Amino acid sequence: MTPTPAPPAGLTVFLVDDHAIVRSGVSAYIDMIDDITVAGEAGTGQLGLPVVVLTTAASQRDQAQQSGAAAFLEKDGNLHLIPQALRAAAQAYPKTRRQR
Amino acid sequence: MPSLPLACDPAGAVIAVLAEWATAADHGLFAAVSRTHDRALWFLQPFLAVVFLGGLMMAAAVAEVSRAQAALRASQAVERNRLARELHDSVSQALFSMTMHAGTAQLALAKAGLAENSPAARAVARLRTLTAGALAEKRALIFELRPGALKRAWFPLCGGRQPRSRPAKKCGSASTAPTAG
Repeated sequence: MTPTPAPPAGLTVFLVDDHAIVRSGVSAYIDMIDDITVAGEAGTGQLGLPVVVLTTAASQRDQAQQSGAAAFLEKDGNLHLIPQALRAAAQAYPKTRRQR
Repeated sequence: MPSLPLACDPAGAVIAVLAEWATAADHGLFAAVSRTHDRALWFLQPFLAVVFLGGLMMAAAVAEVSRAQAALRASQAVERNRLARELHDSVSQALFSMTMHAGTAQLALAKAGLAENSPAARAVARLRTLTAGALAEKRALIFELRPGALKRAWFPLCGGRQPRSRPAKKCGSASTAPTAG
């Protein structure tokens, strides 16, 4: 039996955005991705979890980083990057947890 | 004569006090002039007083005009900020959600085995492109209205508070502002 890396388990994400209309869109899109599930959503909150921020403009990069975001994306319609960013943030999470 | 607004204006109040002091006949600024000169120069005090008062009135008028212009600029900035916030809070979010739903439809069609060049898939792809374009246009419009608007946007993950950040740049003219998106 060859030691193969375990396939990534399904991701669970929690959506936070102050606009319900945005949450509905992101939730619908993520629901179509097989290995990612939306566990819930909220309009605001502080989570002790890695955060992927969808920014409105590139100028918000600093804000996102100061807020402790694991990754950030622009809301510019490059939707295929969203699952990539979520997976990348989830992979980095155990590492950041050990550092704390 | 802008006498009433001056009462509420520090600069105007100073000017009014100066005018009162300068034109008082017995102890005013030019009272000494008439005392120390010939009676032939009796007109000097009223003449100087009128000139001085005229200058003060012109200064008051200039101050009033600049104050009104500043008030107008401030109210314009408030209105532009309000418009930018409205656009950001309503139209931009709806457009972004539309791109997400269009992307969802694309994924659903692909999962259903529909070819990319099928009419339905092409229509959805076009819808998504158009919506993304409208979103970019909207973003540029917000930036023109208020270049700092997007930078100061509310971050819900910070417990409803704005994170500490560098002070937003002063609003420049639209022509020098980079376009967003």
